[in-house]
Amino acid sequence: MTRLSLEGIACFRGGRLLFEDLNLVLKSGEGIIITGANGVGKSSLLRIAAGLLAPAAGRVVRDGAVALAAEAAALDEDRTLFAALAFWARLDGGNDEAVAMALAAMGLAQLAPVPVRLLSTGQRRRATLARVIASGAGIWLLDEPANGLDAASLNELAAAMAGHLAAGGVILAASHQPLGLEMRELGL
Amino acid sequence: MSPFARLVRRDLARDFAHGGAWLPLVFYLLVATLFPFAIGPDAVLLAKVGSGALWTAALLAALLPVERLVRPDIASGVLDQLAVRGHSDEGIAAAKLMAHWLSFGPLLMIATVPAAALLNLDGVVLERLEIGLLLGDYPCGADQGMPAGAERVERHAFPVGGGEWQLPTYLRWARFIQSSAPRHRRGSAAV
Repeated sequence: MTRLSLEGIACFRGGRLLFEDLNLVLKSGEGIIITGANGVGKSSLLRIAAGLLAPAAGRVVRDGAVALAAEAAALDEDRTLFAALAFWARLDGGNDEAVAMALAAMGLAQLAPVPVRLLSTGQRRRATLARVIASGAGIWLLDEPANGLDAASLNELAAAMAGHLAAGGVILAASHQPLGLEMRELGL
Repeated sequence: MSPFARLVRRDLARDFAHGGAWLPLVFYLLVATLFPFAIGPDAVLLAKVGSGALWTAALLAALLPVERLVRPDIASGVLDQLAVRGHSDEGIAAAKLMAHWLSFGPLLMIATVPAAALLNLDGVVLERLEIGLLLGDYPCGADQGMPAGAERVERHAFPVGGGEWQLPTYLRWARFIQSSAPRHRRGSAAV
């Protein structure tokens, strides 16, 4: 069963205590949106949950594979969108079909043969989300997933997130805008 | 295909797509072409100093792409994504070093044949030079990537460089190459 739990987490960055004693448990089918002003530590919390940043205190338990959509797309600029996504999908044990489905889910099917460097901000964001969808990971960590998305893409994002939760996944998202989905909110 | 092989293949493809991978080869052949003109048409002198010049040129050529070894992957979030997937820093560094060596090693070894002709190097010296490139440049290349595996917690502070760390290794290989130069063989023949 997919599960993500943060127990007594404290985050210390640049000599400042951002937050402490943060407790959070997400079981299969549960999602939560972290809200808060710029710089309160939303992204740091996601990096801690992803295991990229060591918490100053507390521990993180992850039951299931993790997919992270951070600010950087992590897609090779010179490759086509399809090839760049396929690189990650294959590392995750997936195949071309998973990539095609993820592209379709984010409305990017027509852009598959376009080099990543030509994508716009919003398309890049959708490509990042497609990478998460194609990963097949149970735990989604989404940092400002709605940034730069138009109304149609926001609906696609909400549908993808709802589908993931319905399939027993877990979502921890940080966002300063509504994601069009009924989810618990946690203010940092 | 194993994740390691995928990483190597991806780095190699990127190196050649950028055109950056051809830079060491161009640099190396330029040195081999210009050196005889700079020294002058003295065949004996060229044969004496040629192997050292080529080896040094190969070493410096291998350093050219080093800036691009890790830094772009930090900026684009690729290293973070690999870490999230549980790939160790050591494994990533090993794949990058392998790709780095494959991007310049075989090309320089082939280019050494015409380069040796330009510098009037005989077969024995050429053989030494090739062995030096095959075995010596891997540690030289590895040295450049070593700091990439060192930084663990805060990945944005990856240092790049530090060639001076391996000066002793470089010197050992330099002596190996130099020991085949004609000067020594003529010396022993005279005794």
